[in-house]
Amino acid sequence: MTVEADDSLDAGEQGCGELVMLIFEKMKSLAPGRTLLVAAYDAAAEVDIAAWCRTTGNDLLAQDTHARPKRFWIRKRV
Amino acid sequence: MSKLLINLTTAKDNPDKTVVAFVVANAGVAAGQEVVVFLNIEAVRLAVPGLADDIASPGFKPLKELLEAFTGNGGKLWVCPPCFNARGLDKDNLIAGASFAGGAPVVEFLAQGAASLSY
Repeated sequence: MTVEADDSLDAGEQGCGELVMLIFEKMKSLAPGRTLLVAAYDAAAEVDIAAWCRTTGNDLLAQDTHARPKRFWIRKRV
Repeated sequence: MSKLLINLTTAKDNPDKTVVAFVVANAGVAAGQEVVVFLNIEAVRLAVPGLADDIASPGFKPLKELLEAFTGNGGKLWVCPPCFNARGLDKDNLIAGASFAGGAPVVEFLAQGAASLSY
């Protein structure tokens, strides 16, 4: 599964608060409505990123948790 | 259903604290609460089969029994991945009721109104 992305972030092995902080910082540079592709290896990446999106109001458009690294497409809230 | 988050940082390094955390967690489950125990720092070891089996505190049931009662009645164990990885544990072998979850779902759970206790 792929979705067109405007920018990307390689989060490597980062997890827990460090993972979402990386995403938070990266999203600052995106305009509202733009999409960020995040690549992450963390065991809980899908749990953490989904929770972060729900909490912040950003849209988790798609995810591929079978890929290595896992991939997540997040659209910045308008 | 109300929510209760118990933040636990210890395992065999502090049996009293570890056991009492699950005594209180079970009180929450018994009261019909949605209870999550967030295992972080040394507590991540409790999610590995067998590593909780010899932990006990005088006056209480063994931790193994408390854990089984907790997860068997719907209590959830969230395991911090970086703390787990830092200790070289096997991430493909967690006890029943345990799953990996980091800071974001903890924050979400609290933002939803969960009360919290920290041990």
